[in-house]
Amino acid sequence: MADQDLYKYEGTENQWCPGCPNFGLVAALRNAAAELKLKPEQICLVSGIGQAAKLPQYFNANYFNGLHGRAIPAALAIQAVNPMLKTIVTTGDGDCYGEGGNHFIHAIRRNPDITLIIHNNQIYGLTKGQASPTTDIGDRTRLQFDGVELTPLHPMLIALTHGCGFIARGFTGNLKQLKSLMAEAIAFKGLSFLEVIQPCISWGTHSVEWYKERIYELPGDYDFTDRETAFKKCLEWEDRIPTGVYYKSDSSATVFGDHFRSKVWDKPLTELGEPDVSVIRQILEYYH
Amino acid sequence: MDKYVCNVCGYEYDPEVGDPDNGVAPGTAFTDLPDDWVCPECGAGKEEFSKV
Repeated sequence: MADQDLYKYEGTENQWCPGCPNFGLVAALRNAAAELKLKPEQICLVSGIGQAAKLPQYFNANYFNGLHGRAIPAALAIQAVNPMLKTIVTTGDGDCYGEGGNHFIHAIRRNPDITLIIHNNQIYGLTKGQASPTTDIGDRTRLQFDGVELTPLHPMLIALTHGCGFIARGFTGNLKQLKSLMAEAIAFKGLSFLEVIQPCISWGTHSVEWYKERIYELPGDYDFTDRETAFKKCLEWEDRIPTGVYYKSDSSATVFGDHFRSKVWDKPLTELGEPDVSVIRQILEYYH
Repeated sequence: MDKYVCNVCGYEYDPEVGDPDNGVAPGTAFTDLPDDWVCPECGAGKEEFSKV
């Protein structure tokens, strides 16, 4: 059995459209997990609602499939309770930026050690083609007959301006690069944000070719430690769309839960046993 | 005989193996696959495959 086959789960009938780029995305995630030599029981995938949010059902690992837009708070709790797990959110642009937009912003501020893999197809695919927060202005959809009037959200910019330490963008048309980006994001300590352009071949407002004509890999000499350069890259979209690591910090930021783990317990909370009241008191005083 | 890879999901068609689950015997060249054969992983059509 090939390493990546460890993560195949075929007990659930796949509901994606034939030829959906999500198949490539899940294949890249299997390859990334194999590259990091993670055992299925060391991974917890978390999703909300949508076509992208079905991914954990086709991957052999722990998973939690929650309410619409609520993948991130569930993931944060899972990571807080069991820091030994690699907690990975895999959900779509509608779920994460729309219903879950508030959680997205505040997760960046908290900086938990989780990975966000957000499938961005710029549409609500499960409900058959309504504009999502990232649908381009003017695009006509099954609901916005005269074109989208609202300004699209810029998740990459939101992440950068709020101090996210790892910001990257991949494309399902480049699975080799996508696998590497996933592995790098999962290995990063702190919140890692990887947006994946995943064209919707049934309801999307752009064809796969539209994306291919615009997408290019960031060059090898691109300085991903320079926030100002990253800011400019985050603004690129209409004519050219870069993929690769836009920004990566040195991981020195405080990670959610680190203080508790350094002072009290750094293993799953279920193994904590009886708490030492004096230590708890110290913690409370610290946060007072 | 050449191997072909699915551009959508990365599945590799190996003619030495074929696709027995879908009635394609080992030793079948990609070019000899029926026109309605689809990628066993993602359902993409033959036109989505590239020679390795």
